[in-house]
Amino acid sequence: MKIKGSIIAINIFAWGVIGLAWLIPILGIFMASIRPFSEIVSGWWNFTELHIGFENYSIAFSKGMGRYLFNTIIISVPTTLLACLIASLAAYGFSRFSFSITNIVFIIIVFMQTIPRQMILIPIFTLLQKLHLIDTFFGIILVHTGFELPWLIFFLRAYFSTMPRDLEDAAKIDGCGYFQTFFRIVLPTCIPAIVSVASIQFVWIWNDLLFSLIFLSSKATQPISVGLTKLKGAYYVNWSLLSASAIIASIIPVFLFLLLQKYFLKGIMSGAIKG
Amino acid sequence: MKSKWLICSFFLFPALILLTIFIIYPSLLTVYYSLCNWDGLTNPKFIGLQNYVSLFSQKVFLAAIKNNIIWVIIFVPSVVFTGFFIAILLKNKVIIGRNIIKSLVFIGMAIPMVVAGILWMFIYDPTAGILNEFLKQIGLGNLARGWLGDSGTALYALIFANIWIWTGFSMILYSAGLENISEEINEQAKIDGCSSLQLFWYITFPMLLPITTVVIIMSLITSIKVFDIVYTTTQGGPGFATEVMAHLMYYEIFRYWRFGRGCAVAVIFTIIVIFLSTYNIMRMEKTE
Repeated sequence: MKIKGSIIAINIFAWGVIGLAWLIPILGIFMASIRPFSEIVSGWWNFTELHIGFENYSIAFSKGMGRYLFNTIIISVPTTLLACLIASLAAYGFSRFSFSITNIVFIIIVFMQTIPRQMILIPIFTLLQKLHLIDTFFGIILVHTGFELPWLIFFLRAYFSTMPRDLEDAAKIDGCGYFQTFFRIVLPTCIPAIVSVASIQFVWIWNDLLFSLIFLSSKATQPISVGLTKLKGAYYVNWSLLSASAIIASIIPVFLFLLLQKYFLKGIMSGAIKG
Repeated sequence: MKSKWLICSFFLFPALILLTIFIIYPSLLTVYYSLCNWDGLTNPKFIGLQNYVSLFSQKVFLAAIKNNIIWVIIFVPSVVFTGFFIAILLKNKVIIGRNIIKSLVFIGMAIPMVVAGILWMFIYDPTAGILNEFLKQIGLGNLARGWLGDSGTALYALIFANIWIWTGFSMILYSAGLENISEEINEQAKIDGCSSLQLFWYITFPMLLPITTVVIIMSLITSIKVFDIVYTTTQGGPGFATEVMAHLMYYEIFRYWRFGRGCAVAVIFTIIVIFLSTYNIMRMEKTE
């Protein structure tokens, strides 16, 4: 009986304290998003009046959330693909060719991971202005790709280095060139590693605020993170509308996380040294 | 040999071009601009270290540094402790749905930081927020206030929210570490007469030490780089109560058009972050 008591106690603690601490904030915005603002203004936990509906979501979409969502996808999908492709090419180069100069370059890239976004903001801002790439998808995709390369190269090189080379050697004997070997043999076998970094990469780009805030200035290009900050009024906040919009902004990254949890966690651990 | 060189450079070429344009060149330029008087429109004028000197005599910069330090002091140990504690707790197989709790705690890392900011603004809201209601229910109603509007509590409220966000990260690292400690070692130690406290102190704790180092450095870096949540919720206010370095830099540049000074903040900031991350990288290189 004593053991049973402690099992119950530990379950109550785990769910009643830890579970609730993470559930309540999320439950709060969920409840606010499906009820009219007038009902939740004195607390979403008041159920004396209860009207459930999705009006807040349709208002959010009418305020441009759909456009912001579209922009976010247009930015984060190509960025992820481009960054992973370029990084895996470079990582393969670093892992298969060892000249003294490439080794030095690799060490420099390792240190580039630590440079924070703030360090490159202003020169890139002026550079994009000169190239007329401010407030364009192309501009922000390039900036994101360039900035995320160091850690991707670092992670993928470590992965390629542990891969056995027998298959590649066999392919070369059969007359495959380096590039053919890379695209036909190497890339397909390391899909799990690429999915790991790509999933975390995608979510980071999706969630980015700083770059988007500075390099994008119009509703036609801004992602949903910026859209959310604009929705928040200065003097009063419509919590129902804001909650619905916040949920719209989170669905894709959260769904991706739940779907690719295993890969995602591997990716986040490898990204753990990013500056 | 020569053809190998050529092939190798083809593999590296796209990455090196992008890295040069988007990281090396702008970083060097930022260092130069930090030594200039520049409003972003006219030509930058070299003035030596004046930006740095004037920063350190500016109240708002000192306030930002102070807030970053407070952030580090509270945030770092809290994230280490909560992550470690939850990881250990959820190792108990008797907890029903422990993986659901794990995912729930980790969700803070998957949602956009802006959303996390909104979530906590809602909790701290003076009328619609659940925190004040909770305090009323447990008889501490006199403590109720607008947590983010009160300059005495705003910073701590934000730090607390940030702990909620980042606990998932430290918990995941610790859970992975705990899985690596094999059951055999634990069993053997128990046979040798280890009490569970001794087991924790002599086996679990030392074996998790490398992970603790990673969590400490990561949370140090995030507390120095904190921007999104401040921008979303308080924008540094009320007064300078929640002003931090990363946000101040944004302000100097895009509100006051003081590009030179903004770059000086960025350089100081970067030196601190690089200094902290270098240790981490050395360690990663060694284990690789």
